Amino acid sequence: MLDPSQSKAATSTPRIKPLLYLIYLQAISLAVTYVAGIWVAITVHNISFNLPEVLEHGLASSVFVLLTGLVGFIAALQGEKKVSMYNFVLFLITVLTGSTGFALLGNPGDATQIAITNLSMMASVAIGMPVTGFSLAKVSRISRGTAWELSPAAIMTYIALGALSLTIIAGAAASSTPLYAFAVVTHVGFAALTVALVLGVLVVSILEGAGSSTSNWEPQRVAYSLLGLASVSVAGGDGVIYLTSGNLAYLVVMAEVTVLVYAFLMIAIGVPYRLDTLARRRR
Amino acid sequence: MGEAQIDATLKGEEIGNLGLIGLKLTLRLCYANFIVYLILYVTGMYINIYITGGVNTIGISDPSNMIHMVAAILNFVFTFIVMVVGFLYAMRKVAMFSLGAVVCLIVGTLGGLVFLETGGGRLSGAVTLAAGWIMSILFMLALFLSYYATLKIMRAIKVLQATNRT
Repeated sequence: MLDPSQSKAATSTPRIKPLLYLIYLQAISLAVTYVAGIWVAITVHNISFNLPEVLEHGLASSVFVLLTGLVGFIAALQGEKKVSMYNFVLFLITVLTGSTGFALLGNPGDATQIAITNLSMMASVAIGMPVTGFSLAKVSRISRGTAWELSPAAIMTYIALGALSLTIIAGAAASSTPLYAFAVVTHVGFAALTVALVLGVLVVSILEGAGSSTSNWEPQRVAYSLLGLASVSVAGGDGVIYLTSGNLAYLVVMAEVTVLVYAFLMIAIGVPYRLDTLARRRR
Repeated sequence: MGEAQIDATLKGEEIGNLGLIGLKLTLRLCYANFIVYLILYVTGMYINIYITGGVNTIGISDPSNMIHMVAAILNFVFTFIVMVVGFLYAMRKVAMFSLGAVVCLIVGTLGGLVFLETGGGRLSGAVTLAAGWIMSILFMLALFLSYYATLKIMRAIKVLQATNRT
């Protein structure tokens, strides 16, 4: 007999699939918004709403807001209260931070406005990362019809996403002169914590397999966390080179590689490509 | 009510497979959308009458303009959600009316952008005026289409309640 969560999963699977695809699209739009935003912040000096870079960022962020609202509402219809609530809060935060972008477009030379916009938008991106991670983990479990239980690797992946978010916020604060020293130290600290946690995800994923007492072991998670570790190491290396050389190109690369870390951690949570499916069928 | 009567009542009705609770939740979203439509209309008229006088342009960071733009974002998101719910839960008319509203909002917003880019005032030329009219007319059309989608959701709720279904 199925337990309540499995029974719920079994009945709601056909309707939950579109929600799962929407969460993947939401994560992709978040990544694109972040990359386009970093590109605007670093390369555009006289910001104006009709510049192609600003329009691209605006378009990507609009898609992200739209998908966040959609995921929140569809999750509410499916009875997924936590997923719905977190996405609703993220939706409100993103709309409010979007309005700081409008304020920046009106006062492009104001240093305070630049700092407020940078920090609030980065905070929105940073909150979006763990929220999309949680939504994906919860919904992909229901979609597969497996019980909702948190493995040590999954918990560590959430914490790694949280640490990555804080690293991004601290990095954004470094663009403000009064906060520079504190922000750089905090950014480096959180970046080191992120590296340690991604390494932890890798180790715990391997250990879960070695124990093999759990039927929910995901061997792909080892590969994804290894790729995440490689990405976070490259991002860290880029940061060090930027600090010593001052070349902005390294800063852009660091931000863009950070998106890869987010992507690999998200895939490690969702594990969409189940390579062991055939083996399970044979069993 | 007997099964035959229920079947007769349900014949030709579009109740979808969302269920009563989901329909009520969607109806609340539609109500919220109408409040947003109202805010959008009031802020738009306020800007037109008291700030630009229909002649001058408005700064993008003006508070009334920011409220207007945030309302526009919410309006689009809410209308889009109702459309997707219609498609996902087999409510064709709700989906089609909302799709019409979404298209109107997109074209209306493009009209607004052309209006601003070509001068943004009554005296800025024929293209500006045409873009302004397109924006206003399509906004009203979107409002009517959202209204009809809401009526269909209300109808589905009434039918489910009449047949004691959830």
